Formats: sequence, structure tokens, C-alpha cells
Amino acid sequence: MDTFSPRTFSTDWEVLVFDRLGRAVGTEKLLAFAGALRDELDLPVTIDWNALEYTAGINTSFAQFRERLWRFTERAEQLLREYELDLYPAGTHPVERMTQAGHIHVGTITDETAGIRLENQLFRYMPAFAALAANSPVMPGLRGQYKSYRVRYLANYDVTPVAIRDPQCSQQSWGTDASAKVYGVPTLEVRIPDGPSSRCFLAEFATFVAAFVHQQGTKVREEQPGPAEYREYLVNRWVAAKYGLQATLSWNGEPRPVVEILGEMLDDSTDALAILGASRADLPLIDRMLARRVCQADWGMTLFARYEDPYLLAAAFGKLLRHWDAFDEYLATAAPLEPVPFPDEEAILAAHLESIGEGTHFYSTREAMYFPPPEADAIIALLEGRGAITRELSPERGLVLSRIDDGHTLLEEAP
Amino acid sequence: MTALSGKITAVRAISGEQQAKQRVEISFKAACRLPARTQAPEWLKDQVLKIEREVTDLREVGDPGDYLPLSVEESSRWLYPLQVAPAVCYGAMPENLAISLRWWKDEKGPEYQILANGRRITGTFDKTGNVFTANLPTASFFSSAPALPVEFTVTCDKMKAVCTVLPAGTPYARRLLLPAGEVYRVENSWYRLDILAGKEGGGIAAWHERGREIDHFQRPEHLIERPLEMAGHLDRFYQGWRPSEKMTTLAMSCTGIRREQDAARLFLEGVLDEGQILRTTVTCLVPDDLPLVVWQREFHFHTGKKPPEPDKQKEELPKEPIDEMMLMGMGFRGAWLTERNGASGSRMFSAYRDQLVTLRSAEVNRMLRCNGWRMSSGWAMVEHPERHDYTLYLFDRHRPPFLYSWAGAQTITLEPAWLPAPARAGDSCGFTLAISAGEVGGVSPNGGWVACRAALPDGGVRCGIIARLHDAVEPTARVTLGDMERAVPLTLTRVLGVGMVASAVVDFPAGMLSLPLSAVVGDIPARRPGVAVGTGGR
Repeated sequence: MDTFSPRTFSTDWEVLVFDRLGRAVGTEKLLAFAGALRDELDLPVTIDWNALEYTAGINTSFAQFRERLWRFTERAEQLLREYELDLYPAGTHPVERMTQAGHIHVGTITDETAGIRLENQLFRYMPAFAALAANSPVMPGLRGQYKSYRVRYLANYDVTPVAIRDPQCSQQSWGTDASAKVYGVPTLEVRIPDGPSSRCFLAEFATFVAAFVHQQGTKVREEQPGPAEYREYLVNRWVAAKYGLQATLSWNGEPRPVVEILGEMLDDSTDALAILGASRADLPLIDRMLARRVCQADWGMTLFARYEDPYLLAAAFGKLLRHWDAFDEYLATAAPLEPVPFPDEEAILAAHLESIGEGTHFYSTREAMYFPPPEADAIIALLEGRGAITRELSPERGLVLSRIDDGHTLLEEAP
Repeated sequence: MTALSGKITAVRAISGEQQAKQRVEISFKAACRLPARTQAPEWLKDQVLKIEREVTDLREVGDPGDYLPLSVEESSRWLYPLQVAPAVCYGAMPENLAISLRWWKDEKGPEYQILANGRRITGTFDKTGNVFTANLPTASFFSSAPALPVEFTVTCDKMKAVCTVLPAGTPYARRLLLPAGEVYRVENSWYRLDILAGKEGGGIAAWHERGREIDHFQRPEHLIERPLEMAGHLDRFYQGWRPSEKMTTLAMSCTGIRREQDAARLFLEGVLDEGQILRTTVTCLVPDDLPLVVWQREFHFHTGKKPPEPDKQKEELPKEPIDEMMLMGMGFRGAWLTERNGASGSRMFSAYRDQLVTLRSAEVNRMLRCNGWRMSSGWAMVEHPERHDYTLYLFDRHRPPFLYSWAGAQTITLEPAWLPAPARAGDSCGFTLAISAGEVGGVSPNGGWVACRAALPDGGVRCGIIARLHDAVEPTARVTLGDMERAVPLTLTRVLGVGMVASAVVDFPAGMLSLPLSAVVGDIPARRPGVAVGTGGR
């Protein structure tokens, strides 16, 4: 059985473009550059809102993908420099509100039923991919609490958790961590990765994701995962966004460092990698990242202490981003990072409590870890039972929650 | 705060690599001012400037031709090189003016000129380190004690700085030139407001409470930000879903400053859209005896001939009434530095019918939209409990706005908006606010109140209360300063466009600013008792 035939892969890599006053170039002007690049490179380069989107066409091997990526980056860089513009390849920006992704399309798939079953099988691995690709440790007003703010905040609802689907009762889906998108190009799209800064990483990562998905496509299972597995995935997703490669995930109920899981996924992909003309030895950057638990976000975070102002941070980081190997060089000398333990139930509760202020619509608690209704409601009930929150219902405002601070409701006079 | 951004002309390493850090000297030319990317100051034109930075990777700096944003601190000496101290003073003429020029293009300092009382004095600077300085006795300009206010205008090349001497203890409104730009300062015995006229359509940039000498609109001075982005009051005009961007750059002209028997009044006017003959006015009225500001904003869609549009087709196309219709919507945005990083602390209150509403987002970058109810109580209050900072907004109960609030990492906003309406030439819309700020406040479904205090001229403390109360509430207050307590009736005053405002002023001749202040207004207790505020205040 092979769900993918022929075996292909590609990327949609969104990259912001800035001028020498630090202004992001808008859609209309980017369209012109996308048109010129598409014409010249014969690759479907396009735009996505205010980002130039490198769409790598249909690739059948690591070498082909890599060669096209190098060709695109070099030509795009040169074309933009004629207008004194620079690419800003990263998941987020300190000043601009847009988030950028590096989606991986895995083809060729036309059997939507198999694709939906594969989604149900693949979702548990998405946090591992998110951890490896984490590259958005800053957003306007925020920095350093998450290694992927993009995943934490769902990329402005451009990447949402997978919903387990039954092929018998499904409509088309869009925008989840991984979904079969046969209504468009015949691929399964992995949307969770942040936009990368290192092209070498993108080449290795896209090939790894494709090989892993191809491999999974040879053993598609019909059974559907249950609520416990789904909850584990959602907590893992949050942990991956927060800690990147330092994360410890819950794996079949047991804590396991994400780097170990990724290592195993790489080993499982050996045969599929070979079909794409690669082996694990061709992915040295990823191996080094796993060995040191260092992701691209860790590199960006090294600038935080010296550039407190977001404008200064954006300028300094933007200049480093011109150098495609700057992250690779950093990684070569970076000190290994320590793993962070998997959060216990108290930490999960605390993360939910943190989403509640005063008069907070109860649905905001869903956004802590995106738990489905029974689980999310149980957490609200638990917090209320412990006296940590109050609830108030009115027809005009709906159900709102308020956190109780040091044993006093905030509506009461403070001690 | 604004900052300078430059284009790099050269980069030079000035110390060797030590502990993975390198010190570099970066030469650059001024390119623009951040964050709006407006023109750099004229005096920096063609000048090559230099800064030093410590970097771990030289590539962070970039190459000649690259963008180089400077921090607020790095920018200051180039954006505001000429300074005079004092910039503003009260009552007595300063003996000397201390003039400093923190940057000049040549080794030799330029000449400066001071103008006051029709006399003009020219001088040269002395150089101390990298700063040019001069001291000048103010007596050189006056043969006898002058009537205040008085202005000393210092000019040097294309730079200008002003020292303004204002009468003490007299409420007033006046245009001032401060280092960061032009403001209109309106002052009574409780407050000192700085109103920006050059941008933001006339917004309140500073709200000093004189008793405690605190600014309710304090902001992080070290971050690059739009003038009223993180703190301040600005008004909004809507012609669609989003507020008009034109308001952010709109400069207002002063059309009058008036001292009345018991208030100071400032009028500002601006053209929001010439093509649509759309104008806006602000009237800021500050009564002498109350801790209150009455703020009236109008948007007028005028009749009259529109200026011709250059690209318009000569042929007149057929029109229907809808073609002349314009959406007019309005609102305002009060922004404050939030406490405890948005996770707790600062919050806001309002009420509708018998419901008290409290709002505080725990998440950052979150807009809270309350579309299901209007603020029919006619009040909203913002509280920062740790710094004892309360601001009360009162508005019309009969056509109340909807409550919106945004939580930023360092900001909490109150952003009420009124429903839009169709308008045609000759129509206008507007709103009036009565605003009070203080150190103690109370809320309940029955209303909200704020109290503040100021020093009495001959010693003692004066406390003021502004409240909006439900009609059924007894309009009385008990005010406590230390162990002294006074019971006072509240005076109900109709403020046109706002409705009834309850107020009281209580004097404690033996009181001190260092004593804690508290109150119960109607049946609403203080949310937190007041604390000692030191001996600040003039």
C-alpha cells in the first residue's frame, strides 16, 4: 500500500520583505517581484498577504529541492537588492503583526479517505515538527515566553489543531496542523512549521517531513484515536511552542524528550528518505539541532538582551537574516540546552488559569491549549471548585469568568 | 517617544574582540524619525553622525547604505540638541537661563540668540566636554519685575527652545514649546494637562495630578512609540470598520484660549478631509475649582463646494442620494501603562442597568468587544490599584457607547465607540466627556466615583470628588484624611452633553499630603484606602 504515488514534496515559504527605512513592502509591489521570479525561475512563486511566498513546485528529490531553493534565494535576493530591499525569513517580526510559515506539501495523494485517516495518524507527530521548526520567539509586545508564538497563537487562525475526522462524515478542511488538501493540489499539507531562517534547515526539514509522511502513508490505519490521545497531542503542541527542542512531550502517557522522538522519526524514515535520494547523513543540521536541543528561535533570542526596543531588534536581526548560513554558524558553537520536564496537571491548570482575567468570556480558556469542550469545561469546573475563579452568566455577556486573586474576588475591595 | 533612524555610511571596529563582544563605531546620516518615519530634523541634513555599539556579530550592524534605527536615548541629543533650563517655571522669574547645545556640527560652537520682552541678546557658547553651554541672567531682559506669563525664546541655527514663566496658582491655558514638541498646557489647582495639537487630532499626552505630582498618562520613555500609543487620550472618527488613519497625523490649529470667570477654555480645529469638507473641533474646558475636565469633540460634514479633484472625469456621472451619503462614527481611546504586565492589576469598570461589569484581559494583544450591551450607566472607570491611579469617564446616558478594550503587553485601553450613522453635507456628530482622575475610587452597580487632592495655598489639603450616581443614591460623601473625617453633600451639576455630575470639595486646613485619603460616596466605599503620598505638590 502506498498512499503517495508518485512521491513528491514542496514548500510554501512565506518571507517578509523590508526596505531601508524598515518598512514592510506591501502586497501590490510584492506581486511584481513574485511575477518576475515566477517567470524567470519557472517556479510558482506567489504572495500571501504581505509576504513573498516561495512555492517550490513539484520536487522528487532532496537534491532537486535544494538546488531550486538555492536558485530562488539567490535570485530573489539579487532582484530585491536592486530596489534596496531585504528578505526577512522568520516566523514572526518584532513590529509587524503578520506571521510567516514554512508549510510542507507532501504528494501525490488523490485518495481523500486515506488522507483523512492519515491526518488522524499523523497529528501526534505535529508537535515534534513544531518544536524542530520553532522560529517565532517574538511578536509585537511579546518576547521570549514561547519559542513559537506563531503556533501558540495559531498564526492568527492560519494554523489550528487537527480535528479528528471520520471519512464517512467529513467535509473539506483547511488550515489545520496537517490536512489532506486534494481539493487543490494533490498533497497532504503540514502547516505547523514556522517560517525558517536557514535555507539549509528548510531543505533538510522539508525532505524529512516528506519522507516521514510518505513512510506513514505506507501503513494507513482505519482506527480513530480517542480523547486521551487527542488531549496528549494538544498539551504536546503547547509544550513544543513553549520550549522548542528543549521540550519533553508526553508519548503514550510517558514523558519523552522531543529530540528522542524526532530521532526515532528520522530513523523510521530511512527507506522513504532513500526514495527521495537522501539519508540521515544528508541532514547534518537537524542532527546537530537535536544533539544540542537548539532550534532557530534560540538563535533569535540571543539578541533580546541587547535590543530591548522592537525596532532595534528587528533591524539587527534582519541584517543577520541576510546571511543564509548565520543560524548554521551559530549552531556550530552553541552550547547544548537542557531539557524541560513535561508539565504536570497543576501546570496545565495554571496555564488555563492564566488565560482568565476578569469578565473573561469562558471561551478564552479554550485558547490556552485548545482542549475540546468536555475537557475545557472540566477544567473550568475544577478551577471553580478550587475557588480559583468565579462564573457569571448574563444574556448580554454570556458566560464570563473572573480570576480570584489571593482569595478575594477582584470585584471586592482588596485587603 | 520618537527616535532617529539613519543610513549607515561606515562601520569601524574600535576595540578587539573580547569575550565574544566587539565595540564598533558606526557613522550614519539621518534618514527619518521613528516610528512614523517622518522627516529627520533639518539641522541634521547631510551631517555624518557617529554612535558606538557593542555587538557579538558584526553582521548585526550591517553595511553602508543600511537602515540603522537608534534607541530613544541614543537619538535624544540629535533630535533635541538645544535645551533651556528651566523649560517651564511658575511664579518667580528664574535668575539665570541655562542653555545647552548637546550636539553641533562643528568644533566651534555657533551663536545663539535669546528674545524676550522685545529685547534680543546674542551670545556664544562655552564648550564643556561634548556639550556647548551658556548661562544668561534673566535680569538683562527686564528693568522691573514683569507681569507673567513671560517667554524667553532661544534660537540657534534652525533650532529653537523656549523657557516659559507662568503665574503660580492661577488657572490658565497656554501654548508651550517643550523639548519634545509643541503642546497646549491647561492647568487648574488639581491638574496640569498637555494637549498635543501637532498630531493625533488634538489628544491629551500628559495628565499630571498636582497633589501627588504623578502623570496618569506616564509612558515607557525608553521605547519607540507613537505619541499616544501606550498612554494618553485620543479621539477617533470612523468612516468604516476601522478608525480613520487621518486622525493620527491631523494637526489642529488653536482657534482660541480663553480665561473665563471660573474656568480656562481651549479651542482646537482641524481639517480632517479637505475633499469631503470634513472638519473637527475640540473644546477643552477646565473648571478652576473641580478635579474635572470637560472634553467636547465635534466632527462637521460641511456644505459648500468641494475642491476639484485633479483626476476626476469631466463628464458628470448620474448620482443618487446614496452617493452623497457618508458614514460618520466616533469614539475615543484612553490608554494607560498597565500594571503587572497585563496579567493582573489594571482593570476597568462600567455598568448597565443593575449590572456592574469589570474587564481585564489576561492575554496580551487581545481586543475585548462588548457588543451585547451599552454603557447605559454613563460612566466607565480605569483602575491601576498598585499605583493608586483611577480615571473616571462620564458621558451621555441617553445615547451611550459600546465598550471595547485592548490589552497590550504594557498598555490597557478603554475604547468606547458610538454607533455610526448616515450623514449628508450639513450634518455633524460629536460627544462630550467629563473626565476626572485621582488616587481613590469606588464602583458599584449604583455608580462610580474618583477622589483626588491638592495642597491648599496656605497649608492644608483640599480633596475633590467627582461621581456619577444612580438617582436613588443619597448624594452625600464621607471623606477621610488620616483620622479626620468630613461628611459633605454632593452638588449635582448638569454638564451639557454629559448629564448630571456629582461633585464635592472638602478642605482639611490641618491636613497634610502625607496622610492617607479615603471616602465613601453615596453607598459606594473606596476600592482601596488611600496611601500617604509624601509631601509632593506645589
